[in-house]
Amino acid sequence: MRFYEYESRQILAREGIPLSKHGFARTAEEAKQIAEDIGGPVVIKSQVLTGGRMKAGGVKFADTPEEAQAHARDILQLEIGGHMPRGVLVDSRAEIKQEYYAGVVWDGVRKVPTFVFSDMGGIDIEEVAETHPEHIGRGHFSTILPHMDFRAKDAVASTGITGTELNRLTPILAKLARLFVKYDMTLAEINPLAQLADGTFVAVDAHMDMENEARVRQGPLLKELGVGDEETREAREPTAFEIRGEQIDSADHRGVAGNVTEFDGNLGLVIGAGGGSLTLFDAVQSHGGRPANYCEIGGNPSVSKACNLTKLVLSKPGVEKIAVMMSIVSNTRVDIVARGVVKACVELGHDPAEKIAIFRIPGAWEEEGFKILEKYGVEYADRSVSMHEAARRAVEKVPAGDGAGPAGSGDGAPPGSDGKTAAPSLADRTSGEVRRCRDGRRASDRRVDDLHRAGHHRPRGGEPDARVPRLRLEDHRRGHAGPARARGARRAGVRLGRPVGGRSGAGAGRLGGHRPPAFTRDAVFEAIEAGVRLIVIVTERIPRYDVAQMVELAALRGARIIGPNCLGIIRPGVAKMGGIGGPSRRGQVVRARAHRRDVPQRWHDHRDLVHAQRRRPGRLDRGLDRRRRHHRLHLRGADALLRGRRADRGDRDLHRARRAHGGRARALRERERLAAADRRLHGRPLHGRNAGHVLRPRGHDRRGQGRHRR
Amino acid sequence: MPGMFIDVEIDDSVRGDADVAKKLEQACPVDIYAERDGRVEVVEENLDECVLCELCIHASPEGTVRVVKLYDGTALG
Repeated sequence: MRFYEYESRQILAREGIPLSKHGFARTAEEAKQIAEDIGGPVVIKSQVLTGGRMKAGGVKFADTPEEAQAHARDILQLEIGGHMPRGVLVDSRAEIKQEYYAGVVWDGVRKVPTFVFSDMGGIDIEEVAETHPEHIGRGHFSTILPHMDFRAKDAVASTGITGTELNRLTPILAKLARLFVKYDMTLAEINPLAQLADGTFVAVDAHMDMENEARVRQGPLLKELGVGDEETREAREPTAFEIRGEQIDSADHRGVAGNVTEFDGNLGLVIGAGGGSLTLFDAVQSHGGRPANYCEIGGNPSVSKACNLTKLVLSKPGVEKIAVMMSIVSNTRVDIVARGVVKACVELGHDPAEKIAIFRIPGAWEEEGFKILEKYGVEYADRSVSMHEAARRAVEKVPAGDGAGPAGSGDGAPPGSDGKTAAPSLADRTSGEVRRCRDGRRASDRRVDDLHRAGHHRPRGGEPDARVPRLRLEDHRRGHAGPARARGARRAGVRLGRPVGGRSGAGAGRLGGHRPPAFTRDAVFEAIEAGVRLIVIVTERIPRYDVAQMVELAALRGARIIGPNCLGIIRPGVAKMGGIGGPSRRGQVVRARAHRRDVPQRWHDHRDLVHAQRRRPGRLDRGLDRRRRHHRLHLRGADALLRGRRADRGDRDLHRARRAHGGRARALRERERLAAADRRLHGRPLHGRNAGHVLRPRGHDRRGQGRHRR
Repeated sequence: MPGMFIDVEIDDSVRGDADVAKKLEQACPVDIYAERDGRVEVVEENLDECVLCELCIHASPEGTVRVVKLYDGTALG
């Protein structure tokens, strides 16, 4: 979700970042008063959630309070990009010596936040990056290790800034980075970061976006800023079609059948299942089809819910046929969806065989579903037909007319994309904006509340700083598993034993079960610290910051994470975890809570998956024995991955030594850090005992950088 | 009136049995059965929601409740 500029400034102020004198006004009179308080020339800025304010006349300069009042009156009436301003920001017009850019964003590849700094602020930073790459400084920083300002200093210094300016800019960038992780931002930028005539720096404009998934835990901040729960801050207002879709979804708690986005095509889509929606939407477009909508259906919705969604899609003007397609489903029942879509066609007076271009949902209860489709003459496909092929068949059946509905321009673009309103990308519209239940609660809250009521998940007592990772290192240090570890493992839904798949040796433990997004990070932390080396996370809508922390901790501990939002993993014919479809003989883990309960029993039934229990049942609960076994398996798994063979004694000793010193990855990072410090000071990395000597003093070194690791 | 896909047939011998009515109401996860004045009532609008779990068949005396799949003519129970 996006913040208005005046809200972004409040956030900056909370973190102690210097700002120019300003005030937010909802009326022209308030603007005049603020201008008088500031004293001197001011800038009046429209507060809208869209760009191009200056071009649209939403930014004006005033020399007197009266002029400010007049400008504010004009701006408050001015619509920009389809948005009316919430108010105006009255900002002092300071004399600027130079403009800089400071920003923090996520590096999606490395999954860590990164600084971006430039001494060419005020203009498009992407353009600067292309035309003047030497004026852009970047640097990653950790989400779990203590924040180190020198990383910010590196980023600033890499643009050639030195001396007093460097010392003044570093804390601003460092504070911006802290703010970024503290408030779950996806973007935090100050542009321009202005250097005034007296050499001081102030933020003149700021732009911040917060992760939607973090709205719940950032409640206090949002409350302080006056952001209501009802404010979705979307790029455009939802259409009536989309609102109806949300109503259908929230009217029935069973499954999901909603998250509808309206497009102007002629092929209605009833699609879903484990990321299948996006894949299928793209597949339809790649075959030249024009989707009338995007939607998500899954989690085993009721017949009435599937029926109502189908009716909604069918009743959209311009829709000629619908395609009902999903990936292979495990917990959504094919026959239930089939009943829903057929029923919708019949109740609207259509022939299902005519209206349903293709029904391609293989998986649970497909035999029953196919019987229903056969009865009504609907063309269906099983898993032998790929999603791509199914999309092609559906597109072929739809006439090639423009079929544009009245809602849009008929060019296949989303409604509202007329150049005035920013059209949302599909990712924007499907990234988990707030869905509401009938009682006004957010859908995600409702799920968590329901879980609490059912006694499955209880929030931790008190309100400790939830952002401090609870690394259960003491369990490791004690040298045995113990009850704490067992508790951690239970909380994480961890099933300990041999790796899934038996003899492949891919890891020392596995994680099963399902946790809602709010608890996933803690569960994964505890699992990693309990020694689990392979973690599959099927949970979706986890805030990015949590994901980054999990990934970083896993890298430090040598664990492997598959997910989040993972469809599952499968070794066909042997075992599977998650919602992935496919044949599984020995065990199965699915996302539905009801199904999860039988998982342990299934694993116990198939004793080759609980190898240890079968062989030495009397010693299973002895922590030391278990820890040794897992450690051995971990080493074997790592060897298999790295060397393609089982390690001999020498390899294992080496590996143990590395683990004792914190792991190879950590050692390499430390070495890189020291070499970087040497390069800064000496122009080259030093070796042996001299390496990184500037960072070595135990207390404060001569540059006042504080305490560092040796 | 049957649903579009599912119908249930209840033997007259248990239709007026309050115990069976209560059990059926409690057993059905999709609320197809309701107990009204000690009698079993079928909630027609929920018939098509049947998930074929057979809980109603197990909750009632043998052979007294049948779930008919109208799309293929077969029945459970």
